Amino acid sequence: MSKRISRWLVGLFLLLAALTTANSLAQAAEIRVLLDARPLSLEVKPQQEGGTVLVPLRAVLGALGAEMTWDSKARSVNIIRGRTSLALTIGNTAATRNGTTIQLAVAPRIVNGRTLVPLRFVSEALGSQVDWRSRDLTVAITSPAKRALTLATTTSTYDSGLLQAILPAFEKAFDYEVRIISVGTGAALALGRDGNADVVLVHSRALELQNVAQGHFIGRREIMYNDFVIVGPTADPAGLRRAANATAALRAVAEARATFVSRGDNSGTHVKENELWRAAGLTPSGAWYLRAGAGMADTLRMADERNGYTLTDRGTYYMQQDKLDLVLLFEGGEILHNQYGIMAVNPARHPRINLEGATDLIQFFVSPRGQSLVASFKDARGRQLFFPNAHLLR
Amino acid sequence: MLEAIANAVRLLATFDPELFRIIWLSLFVSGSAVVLAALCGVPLGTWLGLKPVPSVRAITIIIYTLMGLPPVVAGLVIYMLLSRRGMLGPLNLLFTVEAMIIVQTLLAIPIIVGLTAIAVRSKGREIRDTVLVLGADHRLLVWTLIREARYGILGAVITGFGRVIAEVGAVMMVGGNIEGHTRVLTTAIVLETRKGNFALAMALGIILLLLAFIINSGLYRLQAGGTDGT
Amino acid sequence: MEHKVIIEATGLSKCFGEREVLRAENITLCAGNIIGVMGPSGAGKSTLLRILSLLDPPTSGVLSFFGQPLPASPSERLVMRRRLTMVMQKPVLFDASVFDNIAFGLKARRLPAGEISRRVEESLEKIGLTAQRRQKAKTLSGGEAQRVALARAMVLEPEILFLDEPTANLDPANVELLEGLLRSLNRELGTTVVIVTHNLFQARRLAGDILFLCQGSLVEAGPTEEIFKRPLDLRTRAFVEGRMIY
Repeated sequence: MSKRISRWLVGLFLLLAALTTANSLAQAAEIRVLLDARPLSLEVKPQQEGGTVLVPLRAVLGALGAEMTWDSKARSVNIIRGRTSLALTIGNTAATRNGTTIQLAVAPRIVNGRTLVPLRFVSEALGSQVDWRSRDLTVAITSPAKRALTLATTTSTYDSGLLQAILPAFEKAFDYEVRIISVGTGAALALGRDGNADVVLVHSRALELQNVAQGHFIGRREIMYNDFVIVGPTADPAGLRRAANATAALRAVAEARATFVSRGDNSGTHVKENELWRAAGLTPSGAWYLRAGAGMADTLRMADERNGYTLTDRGTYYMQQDKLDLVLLFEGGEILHNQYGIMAVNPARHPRINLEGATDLIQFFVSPRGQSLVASFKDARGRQLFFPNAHLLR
Repeated sequence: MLEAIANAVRLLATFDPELFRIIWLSLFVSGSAVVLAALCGVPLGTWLGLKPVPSVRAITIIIYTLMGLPPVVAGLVIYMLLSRRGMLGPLNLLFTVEAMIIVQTLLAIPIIVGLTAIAVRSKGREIRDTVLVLGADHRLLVWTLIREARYGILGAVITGFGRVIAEVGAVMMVGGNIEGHTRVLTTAIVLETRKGNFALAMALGIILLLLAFIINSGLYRLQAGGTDGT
Repeated sequence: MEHKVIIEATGLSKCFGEREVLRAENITLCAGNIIGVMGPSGAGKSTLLRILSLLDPPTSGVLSFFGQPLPASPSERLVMRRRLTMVMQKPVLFDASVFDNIAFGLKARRLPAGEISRRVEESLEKIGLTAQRRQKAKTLSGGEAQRVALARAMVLEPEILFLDEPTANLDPANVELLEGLLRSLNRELGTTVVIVTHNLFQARRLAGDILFLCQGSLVEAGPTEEIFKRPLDLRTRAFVEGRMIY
């Protein structure tokens, strides 16, 4: 019995030895690629021709956060990363970078259906640093250093999660590290005015335009919208469900003296609420009208506790829905449109702000890529929260 | 900064009714809380201070921990109790002045209990033998201890007041900062900051500091009057 | 000189944890005497005083006061405790007026206000602080404070008065005043005075009997002159001759 076992053990040992030797022999010839000291996984092994290392295009693009478009007729690929655009053609040693022609040592080729491109050229052209370690056949790519950019936005925008979802793509492609400060609308604009932020994203059109007119901001673009809705108790004592429009809905609340909780903090939502009251020809006052002085989520909570109505942006309501007993009672109408605008702080007022970063971010939001990222952002139940409308130059 | 001071003076001088309502509410909420906390806390602290240290080690550690209870945590706990879904929901106390007083009382009690116990215990060490040997019964001993430690106890109450008038997390949570109902100086400062009215927020802050300073120095004078010549 | 026993303690022992700080097989104090308790530092004098004045219980031993054992019930014990009192070495006065300090024990015993007032005024005169009756006791000098502490005790007209080095920090004038008060208290009211003192001269001046303690045990006891002139124990001899190094 023991003789059989020992024979098996010897056989196993020999097999393992053979495998490890074969493995190391194979590894000895393989080139490794590291991106910021982490190994890059490539679908196809890197190839070497002369002194040039070729790698699969898709892996490199993914690693560097770049995007590409493929023209199958011309067999050429257009790579975009931040402000840089590269054009490469299969089998052609001529490539262009932002329009300037550059000669390659080795032309891009297709192997096993995968496009291989010169690693050093592409990486360096897109801003990275490339080092070759001959000792262990390693190519080390170092991403460009990230520049800091400060974005001030509103709490409801931040709480929706949109920025956390789409800004990483921007940061990666443009080499920024974005610091988001989320405060009330008024404070966000103040941060921009004081030069404590580089770029501001809020949804209070009148206030934004006013600030631009006063010379505090430049380069304003409208990028997306959502809408406001009125929520309240299921019982709906004021009968909002039957209201013809938003103005009539608020009038009904006032007439019924039903509890209404206002943001009371000069936020975009509050400004919109005041607009509605003005349109209804009313100044709300009385024990039924509570000025909370709080953020949207807190205001919703208060309305929930008090069985009252409130005006809210759809996104925050969707997010809080599962924790509230409030239901959506009124929606729709041009007046409930909630437009988001982004603008850079005026460098004439604050020379040391990161104007380049602000401009890049604005460009990103209005670009097809940014706009499609906005549209594809969904909440936990798969509902779209923001609707891109940058093409509508108002 | 100077603009903020000018703002503060202007606000006070024009007797802005909203401002004075806020100031009054700050004083009323914190004052009531401290009075209630003293009514509970001084007897409890005295009892604690009379006990020998080893026998109350556990309670003492708990009290010391609660002294540093973050106001926002206290606010959260009370919020959950008073919420419609909470155990005390039917009382409909959320977002009311009563709720604010409740939470601040809870914040002040550990401070008053802890500091009173310290004052009584140290006085106790000093005068216990003398009082006993002069033929006092237990009730007179306790009463004498409280009287002798009265400045230490007053100090405990002042400290408790200082803590609650300056806090914002608890009253914000359970009060909701509702204009005209539950808005106090600290929550008003948060709101004005959020709105970007930094100068106004600063002015309110100065008023709050002034208030705290006036009250604390007044009480301090009372206390110092008793410890002269010691 | 009376020979009625006012305090008797047998088999007395006091331990703090493992350490025994006091051991005395038999202590007998006679009523109406002035008894001096003497010994080097750490001898256990204060410990003994605290036990006899009912502040601390002994670890073992039997005490009897006024010919009776210690009562069990707290209320009866309080009644007995009110027949004696003590003056500490460092006077602890209350944060109140001189008058209120002196009146404290009387108020504790619920005496009528008129009686309290009379006794306190009398006492203030004896210690020479009538003018300071309304003054805050905390503002008094050391000598004045000790006088008030003594007055506070004497005004209770106790049957037994314990004193723990009452004149240790006082100037000669105050020492003389206090000793005079003690003597007159003993003479007029028959109060038994038990006084711990370091001062050999004071002991000889005041005390009729001496208890000599050394390192936690009662070494010798007897009339003052016997102890001073014919001490039985070598330690006693060394002490009364001023040769004990401590």
